[in-house]
Formats: sequence, structure tokens, C-alpha cells
Amino acid sequence: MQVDGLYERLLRPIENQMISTVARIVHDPEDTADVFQEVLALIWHKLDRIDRHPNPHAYILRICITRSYDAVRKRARRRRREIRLDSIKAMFLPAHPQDPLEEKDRASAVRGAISMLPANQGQAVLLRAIEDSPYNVIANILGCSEATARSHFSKGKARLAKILLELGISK
Amino acid sequence: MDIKKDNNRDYDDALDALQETFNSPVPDVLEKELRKRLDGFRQDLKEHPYLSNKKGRWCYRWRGIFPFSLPLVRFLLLTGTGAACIATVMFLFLGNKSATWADVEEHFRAIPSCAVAVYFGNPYSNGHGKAQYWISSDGRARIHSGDKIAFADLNGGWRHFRTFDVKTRRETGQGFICRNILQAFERVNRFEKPTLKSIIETMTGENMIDATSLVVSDVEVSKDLLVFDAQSYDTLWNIRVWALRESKLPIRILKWHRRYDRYEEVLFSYSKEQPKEFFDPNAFEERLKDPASTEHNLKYMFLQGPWGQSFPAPGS
Repeated sequence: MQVDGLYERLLRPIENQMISTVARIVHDPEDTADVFQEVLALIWHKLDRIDRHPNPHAYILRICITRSYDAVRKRARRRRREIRLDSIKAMFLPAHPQDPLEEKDRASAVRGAISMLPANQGQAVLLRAIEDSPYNVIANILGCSEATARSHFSKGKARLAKILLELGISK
Repeated sequence: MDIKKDNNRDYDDALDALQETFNSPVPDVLEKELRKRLDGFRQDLKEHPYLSNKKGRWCYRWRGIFPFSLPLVRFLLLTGTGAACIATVMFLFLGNKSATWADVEEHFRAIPSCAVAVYFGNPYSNGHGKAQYWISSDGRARIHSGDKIAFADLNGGWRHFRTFDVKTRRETGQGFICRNILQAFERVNRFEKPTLKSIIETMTGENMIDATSLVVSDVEVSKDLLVFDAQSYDTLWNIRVWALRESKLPIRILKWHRRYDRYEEVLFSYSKEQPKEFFDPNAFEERLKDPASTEHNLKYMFLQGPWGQSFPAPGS
């Protein structure tokens, strides 16, 4: 078995998608590099399983999105602990409601809101909204049926809208 | 309808916010860094056992062929193997430690001496009481019952005995309890030291153990204990015997009547053998004459504790 052959088959076609998924979700450059390294370590560890998987690309993207999403949630938890506030609202809202949120704060608030979703819903929303992945791909990545993937996305979207509304980010 | 429209608008806003946040382009520096890591990964793949090592590759192929690679199969195999190992170990180390009543009898016979305390309750005749006796390796016994202390040489038959009263400080006739104990010893085993069977039959005055055999009631009480149960049909006594699993020595016997409010409890102590003068009626008689010996001292005269001290201690 050739190294190049395996790499070309498994990773090359989705290199860009891997990079953009991890970088966009994690956002912070330092954390992104760490998460990406973790992803590669996992791929290394599960190489035989990935190679035998009926849809290896979906498997790899699943690793990417799961790790990235975990990193976002971990960061949000850390921030909540550090600031010692009960909710994400207190963390991201301006001191006065009439003050507009800065772009940076707004992005942080949206990331915080995403981290509050259950894992499957959050991942479905990210895949659909950012990667524009079709439901069958999301289902492959999440390891569930297409109907379940739709349900995850729909519920996640509704819950996200509610959170963003509470935060005052939705118009 | 309006609510639905509002909801849809909220959802769209949420997705817009999400796309604005997450659709930012990946910075060039970061992308270069990540691509560098991918290149490194590609280089390192040569070292991966799945690709580089022939042995490793075969290992992976075997995993593919056999169902051991399936997590559930692996889990079942591992738990099954683990359970089998535990069962084997338990059988080897615990299974062969179960003992029969004959084992307990045998080990008790082999012990050179012991002390026995008997507590009994019979509201229709004697009320509640206590008796104590010690048995030596050469078949002699010393029995305490109230103020009476009896000395017997069981090898010579139960008739060779002397009884003293520590209160009157005189030799006296044998009491009811002393006589019953000696009779039981004599009846069961005329020419040897008392057996466990004779101790169980002590006080009842009836040959009850022959009525039914003892059975093991298993180890639910404790892992360290053996428990034997017996019943007698003719005398309506229940018997339970507790013995230690390791040494196979009895530690407690409880007898209770199935119809009347009567019980007997026998507790065993195992220590070093008492000195010869402890079982010697003549030595005891000498001390009995000594007015300096108190009643309490006389009762436990020549008794040696487990650490070698004389009883009663201290102050005696």
C-alpha cells in the first residue's frame, strides 16, 4: 500500500474543507492550530478504520467538526467560569441595551450561542449553514439518518434563533 | 400565521448572523500553518504501522477478516474471558475451602485444649444460668457452675471427679449442671476427651445428634464462616453451629427448643493449654485451705491467660 495513494485518496480531496471547517468554527488561530493537530492525531490513530469506512471523507469531516465544536464549547465554558456569570447573555451584551454591539463582540456572542446547543444540533447547524452541506452529507458525517439530520438542523436553528433573540443579536 | 412568519424571520436572522460570523475567510498565515501540518502528517504516514510495517499491516488485515475488530464482539469476548477467569480463581481459592461437618469434628478433635462457656435459659426449671469448663489434652476437665468447681478425669470415666464449693470452702457433692455435663461426656465418648458432639449434647441429657445429620447451610452469613444446621425429631431442638472457614474450628453453638422457651448457647475459646495444676483437684484443695485466697481468686486459681498472666489479674 502506497503512502501517497492513501493520502491522495483519503485526505487530498477534502484538505480545503478540513482547513476551512476547523478554522471557521474555532476561529482563534492558536486554538485552530491545536484543534487541527488533534484532528490529525485522531486520523492517525483511526487510519485503518477510516480506510475501511464506506465513506471515509465523511468520517474525517466528522472528526474535524466534532473536535472543532468541542473546542468552541470548551472555550465558552472556560469563559463562563472565568467571568463567573450565569449566562452567556451577561458575558456578551453591552452595558446599555441601546449601545450597538461591536462586530467582534457580536461574533463572540454568536459563537457562544452555538456552543450552547446540544452537540448534534450545533454540528448540523454549522455544517448546513457554513459548509452548505446537503442533508445526506450531514447525515453521513453525524452518523445518522437523513431525517434525523434534518431534525437536528431544524431544532438547532430554532434554538439558536431563540438564544440570539435573547441576546439582541437578531434584528 | 403571523407568528409563523415571525419565527421564520427569526430563523433567517439567526442563520444570517451565523454565516456572518463563521464565513470569514481563513487568514493566509493560518492556512499556511495548517497546510504545513498536513504535509508533516503526510510525511509521517510512512511510519504508520498500517502502511509501513508488514507485520502491522497483516495485523490490520486480520482485524478486518475476523470479527474481533467489532467493538461489541471484542467487549463480549473480553467480559466473557474475564468472567471465566474470576470463576476459575474463585473455584480454586474459595471453592475448595468449603468444609464438611466431619472436617470440623476432626479439627476440633485435633485441638489439644479449649475453654467452653455455656449460657442457658430454661424458665420452667433452672431459669437462666452459665457454666464454664476447660478441657485438657490428656482428657481432664474443670467445670465451673455457680459456686461449685468440679474436677474430672475423663480418661478414667466420669466417676473420677471431685467437687468443691468456693463459698463454704469444702468438698461437696456434684451439682445438677456439673453432673449433666459429665454425663454427656461419658455417654458420648467414654474413654477419650470430649468431642464436639458431646459438647452439643451437654445439658440436654439426650442423644440428639444421632437423630439427624448436620447439613451445611452455606455461606450467606459470611465468607469467613461456615454454618451448620441440624434438627432433632425426638427432642425438638434446633442446632446451629458456626465454625471458622480457615481453621475449621467451631466458635459458637446455639440450640433452641422448637416448642418451649429454652435455649443454650456455647462459646469456644482457643488458647494455650492450661497448666497441670489447673486441672488438679489436690492442688486446688491446698489453696482452698489458705484463708488469704479470696473467693474470686479461688474460682480462677492457676488459670493462665493467653499472654501468660495469671487470673484474676490485676491485684490478685
